[in-house]
Amino acid sequence: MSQALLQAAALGALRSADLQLAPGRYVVLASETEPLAALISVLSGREPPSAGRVLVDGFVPSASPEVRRTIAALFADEGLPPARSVTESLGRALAARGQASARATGLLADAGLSHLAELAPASLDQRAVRSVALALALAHDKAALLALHEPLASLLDSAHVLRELDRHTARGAIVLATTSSSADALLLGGSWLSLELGRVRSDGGVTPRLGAGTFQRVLVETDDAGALALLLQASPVGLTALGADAPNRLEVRGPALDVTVHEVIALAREHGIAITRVAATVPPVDVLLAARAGFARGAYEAARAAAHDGVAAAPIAPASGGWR
Amino acid sequence: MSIRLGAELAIARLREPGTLSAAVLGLSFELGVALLERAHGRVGAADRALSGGAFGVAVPLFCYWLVSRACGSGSLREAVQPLARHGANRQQLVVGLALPPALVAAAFAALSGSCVVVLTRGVSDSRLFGDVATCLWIGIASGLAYALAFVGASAYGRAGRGRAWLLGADFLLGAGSSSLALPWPKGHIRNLLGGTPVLELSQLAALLVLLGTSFALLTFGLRKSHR
Repeated sequence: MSQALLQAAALGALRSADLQLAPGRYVVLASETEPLAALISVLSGREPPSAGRVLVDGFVPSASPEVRRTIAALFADEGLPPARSVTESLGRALAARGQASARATGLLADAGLSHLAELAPASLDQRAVRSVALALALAHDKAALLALHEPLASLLDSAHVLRELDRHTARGAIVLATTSSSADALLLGGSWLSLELGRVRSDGGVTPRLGAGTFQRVLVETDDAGALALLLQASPVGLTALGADAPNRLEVRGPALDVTVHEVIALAREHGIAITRVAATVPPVDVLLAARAGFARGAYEAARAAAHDGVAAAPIAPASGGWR
Repeated sequence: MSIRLGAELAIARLREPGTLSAAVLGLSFELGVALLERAHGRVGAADRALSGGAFGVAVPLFCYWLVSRACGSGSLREAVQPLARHGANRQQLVVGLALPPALVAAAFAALSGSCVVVLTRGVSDSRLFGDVATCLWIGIASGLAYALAFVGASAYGRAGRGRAWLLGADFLLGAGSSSLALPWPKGHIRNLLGGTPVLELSQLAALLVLLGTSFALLTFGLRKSHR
């Protein structure tokens, strides 16, 4: 069974990544200013980490061609091997992967990109280049790890991409996608992780949950808060019911406001629970800033301690509800 | 396999428009200098044109340009990244990447140098064939040495700026004959052409040092690009 391990891995603005990834689907959600691209670079072996370590199946991917052959990646700044045509370019990439270069034509046709086949790679715009690179990544049937940056932002049909990701997940690959769109994250599904202030971590095990949703809270008024709270516990997007101060009120913590609201409403509709009001709960700014700083510091100290001791430690989270 | 892919990578980049124009420009410069030297005085014109305009300026600049193009104007690591990311061996890719510019540089240096000899000596000169033959092997050695050294230097500095550092050091320090000129190709090539030797080295020693330092630099580049 494949495994990817990042221990206090750093690269540029990516300050510390602590992840232990078993086969499954993971989505890293963060704002556009966070180093999502660096996370993909370091995980796929494109760049060695400036600190910490990255292992895929026990080997350092940046130093091991054999391991890189089992990694399919989509970078933010994709580039195709230089060649006279896209088909020839893909043929070289497939040859580097140890596969038959004759597959290139069929690969483009499967992805609906046949119209690009005879064009020169240098003449493609960045979106088309990323689309071809994504088609190449998705066609890697022996990939142990797929590390994809914004896989739904391409010329490829989203349904096709999601179908292919499902196929790779089903055959036991590690599929990690990064995105700054909560809507895309919702479509991509899987276990959610959050990259905040250059740090990302999973709390261990195979089902990492979003760790930085402290401030993404929604107040829900409903006729049956208890039943809704129970349903939320089973939500696949990692919602948490924080408790109710009244039988008809419930506070819900989730990864992003739109995702949380969407999920709450969907669950309520599905189970016939009436919702009378949904509102975002916003803490005072000074408390919010203090809590974020405390969380960041706690995560940093925990990462340092884990790197030093080789033992996973939980970040120090701010006291919940302190601002209420 | 990866060596072949690396060579194909370099060939694809060298095929882009501009390579032939650069070669023609370099050759024109060499021939222009040769004509000026010949007009200045036939005695020693070939030596001055070869050690000055040809092997002193045009060959290193053309080799620098060739290697920059083969590397896609980036570092050695960035140059092989399009295939290394898919699992090709980086070191083998670099070896393959170095071959096309080295061969083109060797051919350019040998042929352009021979043209300079023909132009400065004249077809009636009795020493023409001997000098052309000498110029051919010196050109091959010089082209190979410069190209391999530039490929190795491309592993250093952001976006492969090690190439530019090497070019600058070659022009500034290689022009002398002290120990400071020892690591750079220019002084040894001047020695092979019959000019002032570096540290009084013999021509055989100069050839060995020239090729040795270039291969050493390439080896350092290979080691650095491995990680």
